[in-house]
Amino acid sequence: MKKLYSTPEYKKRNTKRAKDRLKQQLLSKEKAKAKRRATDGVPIAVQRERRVISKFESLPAPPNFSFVENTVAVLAYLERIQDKIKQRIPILINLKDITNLTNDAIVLLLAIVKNPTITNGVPIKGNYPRDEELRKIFQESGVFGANGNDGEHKNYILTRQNKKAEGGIANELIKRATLIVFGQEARCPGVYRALMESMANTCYHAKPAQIGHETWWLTVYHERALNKVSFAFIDMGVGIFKSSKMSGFRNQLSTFFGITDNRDVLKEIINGRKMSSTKIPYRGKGLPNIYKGLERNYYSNLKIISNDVKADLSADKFEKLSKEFSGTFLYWELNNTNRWTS
Amino acid sequence: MDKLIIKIADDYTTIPGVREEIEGDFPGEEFLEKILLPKFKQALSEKKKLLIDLDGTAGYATSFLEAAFGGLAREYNDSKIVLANLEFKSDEDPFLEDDIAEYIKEANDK
Repeated sequence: MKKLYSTPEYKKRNTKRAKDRLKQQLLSKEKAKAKRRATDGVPIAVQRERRVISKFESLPAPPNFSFVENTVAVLAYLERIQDKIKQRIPILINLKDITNLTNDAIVLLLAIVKNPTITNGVPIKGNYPRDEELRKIFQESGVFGANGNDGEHKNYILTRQNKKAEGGIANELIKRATLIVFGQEARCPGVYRALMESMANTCYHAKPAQIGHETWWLTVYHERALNKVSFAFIDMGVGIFKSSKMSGFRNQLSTFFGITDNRDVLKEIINGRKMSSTKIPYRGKGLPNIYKGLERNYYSNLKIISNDVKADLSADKFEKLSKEFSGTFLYWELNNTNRWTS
Repeated sequence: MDKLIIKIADDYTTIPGVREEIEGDFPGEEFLEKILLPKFKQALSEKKKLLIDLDGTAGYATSFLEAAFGGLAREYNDSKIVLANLEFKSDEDPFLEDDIAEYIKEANDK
């Protein structure tokens, strides 16, 4: 034994091993030091939160997080979220660096993260924007926390969800919106009509085979600086143009008028040419009447996004999207130039 | 000539729904069945006009109005008899009367 320890081969190997161990020990020590430094003064709860978040894949949101302004980028972001969900990877919706946020993007996120059939049990977390104003809006929306239905103390944003057309919800939101915009609780028959029709469309057009199964989401946001209230309504069904009951109407448009582009199909719908996607002649007046509400000055800045079409009806602009949105999105604004009744 | 009156806000609801019960509360089909149709029949038998007071509600969905008034025209398979015997009061929404007249006229379009 003595002979073995004194051999040059042993001594060389032992020296190398000792060196490696020392190097490893120093490295571990350095790592522990760095870790201590990073958490020095950080509350335990925050440290715990950081540990949890580190297990999630961070997906940074587009800086201009607005569905109406930056539609394709937001759709691409949603696609990434859905891809990760398919791969069952926990996601962190990273909103830290966003510079613009509108309630339409919030309603879109709500419709996804609060929908168990979409999230499929995959954990989803999110952080809040660094920007103080945007952070406040987001916290009040309830996307990452409790549901926003306890809207009593919310200053900026109200969120509602349901599967049916609820006149009580529409009425309550209109009262709050008018109090802000007109300085008194008032009635807006046109806004009520648009809300009720949007909700009813969800019942039938979202997934025609399952009446009343699809959930709609609605956010109402008060933009103080401009004294306007915006309504953003969404359902994550199949969209206007992919509704199975729509196929007959589209075939007719294609056969008789050569219309195949969904932008033109939407123009036909809002102009009332379409009879109904439900194939009963007297139905299908919902979207044309929502458009009429704009013409009658019940609200302003009406926009529709569905499947591959984005329509700014106030500006008569119809855009073909390079990314598909599977669902229907409606947006309009109420300001003090719009029609109302006390 | 005497008139029968339905004030929707008092006689039915201040928050009318949409078309069918499956879609939500206070649907147009229910209003037609429970209130509008019986009163319209009574008005016809008494040779009176039926005045519909539309004021006082939060508003009306198109599908509620179509189901109720278009539905009434479908019941009689005749728009003219409905238009001739109904009157409307709508001080709060000036467009409602024309909208309803359109739904009644188009109710039996095939």
